[in-house]
Amino acid sequence: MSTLSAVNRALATRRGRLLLENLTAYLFLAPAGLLILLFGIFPVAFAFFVSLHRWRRFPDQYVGLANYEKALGNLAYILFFWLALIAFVAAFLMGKRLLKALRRSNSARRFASLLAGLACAYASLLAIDWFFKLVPVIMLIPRQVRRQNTTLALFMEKLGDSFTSPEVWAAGNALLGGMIVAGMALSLVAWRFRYAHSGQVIAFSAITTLLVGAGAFLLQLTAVETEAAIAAARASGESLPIWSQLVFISAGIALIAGAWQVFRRGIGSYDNRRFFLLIVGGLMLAVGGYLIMAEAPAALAAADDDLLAGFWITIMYAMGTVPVQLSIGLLLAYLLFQPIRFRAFFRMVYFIPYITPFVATSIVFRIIFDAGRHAPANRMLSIVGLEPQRWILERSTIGDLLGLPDFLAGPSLALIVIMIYSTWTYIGYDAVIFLAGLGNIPGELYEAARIDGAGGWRVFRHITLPLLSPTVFFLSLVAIIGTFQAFTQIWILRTGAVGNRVNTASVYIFDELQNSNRYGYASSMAFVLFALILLMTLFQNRVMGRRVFYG
Amino acid sequence: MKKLIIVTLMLAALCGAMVQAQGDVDYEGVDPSGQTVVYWHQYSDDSSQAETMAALIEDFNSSNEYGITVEAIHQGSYGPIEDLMNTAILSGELPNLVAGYANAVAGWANEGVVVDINLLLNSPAWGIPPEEQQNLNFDLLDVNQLDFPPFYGMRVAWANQNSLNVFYTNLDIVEALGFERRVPATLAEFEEIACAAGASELYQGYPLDTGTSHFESFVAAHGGAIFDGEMDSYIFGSDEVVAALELFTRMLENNCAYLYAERYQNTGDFSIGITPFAAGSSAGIPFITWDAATAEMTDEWVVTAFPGAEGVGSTIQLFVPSQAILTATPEAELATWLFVKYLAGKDAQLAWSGATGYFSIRNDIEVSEADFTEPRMPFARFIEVSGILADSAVSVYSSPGLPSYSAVRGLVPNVIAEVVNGDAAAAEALAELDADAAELHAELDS
Amino acid sequence: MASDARARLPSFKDKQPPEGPRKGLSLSRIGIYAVLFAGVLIAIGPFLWMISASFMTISEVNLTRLLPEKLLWENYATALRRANFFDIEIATDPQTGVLQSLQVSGYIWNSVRITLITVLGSLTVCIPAAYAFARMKFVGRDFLFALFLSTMMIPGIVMLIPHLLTVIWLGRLSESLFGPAGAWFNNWPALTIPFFASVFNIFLLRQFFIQIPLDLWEAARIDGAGHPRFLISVVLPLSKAPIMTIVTLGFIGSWNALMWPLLVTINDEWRPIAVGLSNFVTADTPGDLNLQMAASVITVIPILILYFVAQKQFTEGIAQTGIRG
Repeated sequence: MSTLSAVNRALATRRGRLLLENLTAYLFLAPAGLLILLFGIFPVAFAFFVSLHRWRRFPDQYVGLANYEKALGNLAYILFFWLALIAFVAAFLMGKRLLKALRRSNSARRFASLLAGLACAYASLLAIDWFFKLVPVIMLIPRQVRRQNTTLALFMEKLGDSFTSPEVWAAGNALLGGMIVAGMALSLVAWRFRYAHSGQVIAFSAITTLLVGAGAFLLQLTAVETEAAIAAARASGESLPIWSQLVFISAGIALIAGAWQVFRRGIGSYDNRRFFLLIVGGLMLAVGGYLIMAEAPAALAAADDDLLAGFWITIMYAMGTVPVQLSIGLLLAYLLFQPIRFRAFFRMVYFIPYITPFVATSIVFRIIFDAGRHAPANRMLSIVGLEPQRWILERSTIGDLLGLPDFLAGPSLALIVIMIYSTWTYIGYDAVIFLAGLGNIPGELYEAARIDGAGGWRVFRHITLPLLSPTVFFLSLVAIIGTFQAFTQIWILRTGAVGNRVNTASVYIFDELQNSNRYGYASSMAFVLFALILLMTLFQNRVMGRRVFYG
Repeated sequence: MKKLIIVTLMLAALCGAMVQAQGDVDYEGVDPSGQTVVYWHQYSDDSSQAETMAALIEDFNSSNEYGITVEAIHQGSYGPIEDLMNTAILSGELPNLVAGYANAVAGWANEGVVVDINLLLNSPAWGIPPEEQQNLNFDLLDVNQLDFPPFYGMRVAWANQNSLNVFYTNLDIVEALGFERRVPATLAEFEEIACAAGASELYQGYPLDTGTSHFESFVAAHGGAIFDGEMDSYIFGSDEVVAALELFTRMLENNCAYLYAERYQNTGDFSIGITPFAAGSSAGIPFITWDAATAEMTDEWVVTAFPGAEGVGSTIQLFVPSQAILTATPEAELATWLFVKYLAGKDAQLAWSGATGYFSIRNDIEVSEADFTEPRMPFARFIEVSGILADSAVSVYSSPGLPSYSAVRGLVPNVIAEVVNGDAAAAEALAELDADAAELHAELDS
Repeated sequence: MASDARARLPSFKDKQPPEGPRKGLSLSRIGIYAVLFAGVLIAIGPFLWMISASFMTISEVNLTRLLPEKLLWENYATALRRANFFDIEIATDPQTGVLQSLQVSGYIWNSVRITLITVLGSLTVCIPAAYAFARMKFVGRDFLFALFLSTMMIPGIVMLIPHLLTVIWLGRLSESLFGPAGAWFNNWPALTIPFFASVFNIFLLRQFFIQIPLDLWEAARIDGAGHPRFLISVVLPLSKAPIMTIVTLGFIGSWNALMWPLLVTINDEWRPIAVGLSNFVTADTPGDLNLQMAASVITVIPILILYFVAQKQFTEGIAQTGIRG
């Protein structure tokens, strides 16, 4: 009883309340956090681990960056160099925060916190090490139990054994030691050396160390692999100019990024300066662009053509669906928002494509866009007096079909059919969400605009659209992430006759996974795709996020 | 972090050593009593295959002296079965008997989860005695006998629903187009008639598909193959393969053939009498018969082997989807074999063949009209198709039973599409395919 | 307390601009209707043809007729029988006629069960998490939120194998703890638990929770309520609409799920409707398109009914969360 009241008293203080709030919050987050760790974060770490191996259903040899090299050619090394660089930059930023937190106090206690943070970081590294030794051992259990009676008890026994297998056991002991040290350091700080910024110092120093560690690991990996690749090339009498490509392409990227900054400053400044900055920016852009254009083809020479084609198809697919789908969705929502009858009916009907299973609707689309003369799409063409097309069987690009020059080739007609299908599926979803966004715009604004005598288009342009920008931003973000992962629509509508002309990166990766069971290679490509999506999202956040008006 | 890499290396070496560490099991003293056999198949509910198989299983379950119980589960078509097998191999909980083509089974065997049926077949206590084995049709069964590394003479699966990729001809259309009323004797004749059909108002040319099996039939008709067992390599660059692809390209270009989208649309179009020819599995005959009757198509059509190129003769491609026995305890493996052996028995084969129209793996049974119960297929058709296989003048082709074939057959349609669309020349595209296939062969078949 | 708070929340009552296209030319109104009806035709044209084709003979479908000559209701009977969509076995006592057992099975029933568990589980997991992100201050909040959001960008393919491993081994662990009912594989946990922690749902709910007026919390705290009680007695009653949105989206998602259920179910005990439909459509024997259409229509009906019932709340929920990037 007395301990309980002591706890209550302790919790009543400000610090106590803070602690309680933190504890409650973590308790609230625990289930979601655990599941996201298991089904969101572990898979990524695991996929990265797999991608460094030759891996066919089960772990095979460690191959370093070979899978990435196969996918991207020399660009793989450049990519990893940049990843290392990003880790170092992040470490630098985090280190700055750490220094700031350290400077807040001149107590000697801060060094205890710093050491505790380092101990925590080291323990985390040991935990990662232990985990990635354990997982492959567990994965291999199914091999060990072959020809035995595969009961649950046997599997559990083997699971127990895997914790005590030599390497895992050693790593586990190291981890235990690390955890004890870290725990002791933390409790020491908590009981004897605590001060106002202990928490920050511990967290920042741990994160900085981990980032430096990650950066060092990536850099070392890149360096070792690059040297190995160059040595291998030299042995076969060729030269592999990875380092020069690395320098030039990195310089190119840096110049373009710099140009972006210079332009931004230039636009905001006065005439003379502006002119000068624009010239400088233009020069940087030109030189950077030239460097990349000159070096990239060589760096990509050994890349997987099908993967590159897959990326290009993905980009065309995204460009062909997202804007169309959003603008039609917005148009429908805007019309629905006018004072009309049957609004609920329309809203309901527009949503139907989104809720109907793909398996069902794809059959209908296959029939509509069949190559035969009787197919509905071809009947429509014949009504207008056009030649029948082969639609989902048409491998040729629209550029070919219209007789345009090669660089205007564009997507294949089959891909366009899939785009139509995808757009058809999502328009209703977009319209319903736009409609909800329109409902949130305060009526007084329209009233004011009407008093000012603004017409329909101007009201739309200057009131509706800006106030709707959060919705536009959200929907386009979701749509772009969605199209970059696009899989099902293409998977079910593609035909052998168009070959790989509709295979987005996702589809190509899945083929690799399913047909050849090359898990390592597929994982490396999926990882590149992930990096690309992340990059696109950040870019969109920067470019579009600025223009979003949050009322 | 470096340590992590080193340990991984060690671990990888360890796994490498474990791959082939699977000894031969001696089944002599094993007791199969009371085992349960889980069987994954692809017979869709309500089909005559599913019904017959269910009846046979029921008979086996009630009659076998060891109290073995077979539990059959329908798992969709071969694609889903392969996906599920990937999961099962990862989890270690395998079914006992599973349906699959030789290449898929070879992939599983590569993982060490497939039992060498030769050990059971030739087992003195449980096998089929040599004099009895003479009644088995080893032309069919040996499609699953893998005599190349790393399998070295393993019999990875047991054939059970053998069909042929046959050639359909509508004699009335051939005659209406002004040709002699017979099946074309050579590919050149076939092309000529198809072109005439494509040019006519009433008919369409040959329904062409970019699938790998269909292509292989035409490669075989040119006297070639896509894999050479003696050279141990894919031979997509060979003259026969190039010639087959050039035939496709030419026919499409000259409007003698057309591509189709919907599955089974080729035989569908044939059954409503708009194309003079089609190629497809003999298992499709009931559907053609039925569709033709529904559409009131009364033309006379025949089922034959493929006409060959100049000097090649007729050829036929075997489709031999089989059942693989997967590793389990020796008792369960033996119990599974006893079920497979039951299915290979005379009565079971008669019932199976009679009800489904598949060829028997036995030489010593003859399905009579009374035994033949497949309602949608006339008995005469069954005799007609059986005749093709029995004809010694017809050379038989089957796809390579290699793990890499699963991946390679995924690449072929793209190359065909590329070439027939005029995006690449046949020889160059096939040379590139040959290189890709060689890479897959080196990586996956070891 | 809850009712006056509701008044202060952004609400959605089919609002419309109070100006006057109404007064505008009636020509423009005709134009609006024309566009909207064209949209209707495009949106449900394929769907209507699907219904029409489900009553046709096979040759009518092959010739892409618009309407069947005569309605073949037996297509539905055949499709239902072949595809194992739904089955009830009622056993009654032969003498007294008292109900003894009721066995429901089939893909539709499976999907209903899976959907219910997924949606309920997802709400249980996501509501507290979203609340914590929206209303509580704790160390690493922004970092964790960013981390959660970034998992949305991971291509699904990366996840396939690790998910399988997790499900296989966690399932074994739980099976050894809880017996056969605790199995994950080929059982409800594999089909539902991976989808509980939906980042999208957490995001949606957080956006809504942020808008709940702060003084409500102050008042609740003075009354001595902590976060858990505030969440249950004040926040949840206010959140009907966003929860309905999540339920509807969750229903659609798990009703249409195909790839994952295909990998983790090995018999019809828990196999959901999309897998059943897909198996029916891609069977290894030539399928009959009219039957496939009938089967497709059958799968769509339950979800249509749900959307019909929930659509007002659904739209309101989206409006209230105000979805901001």
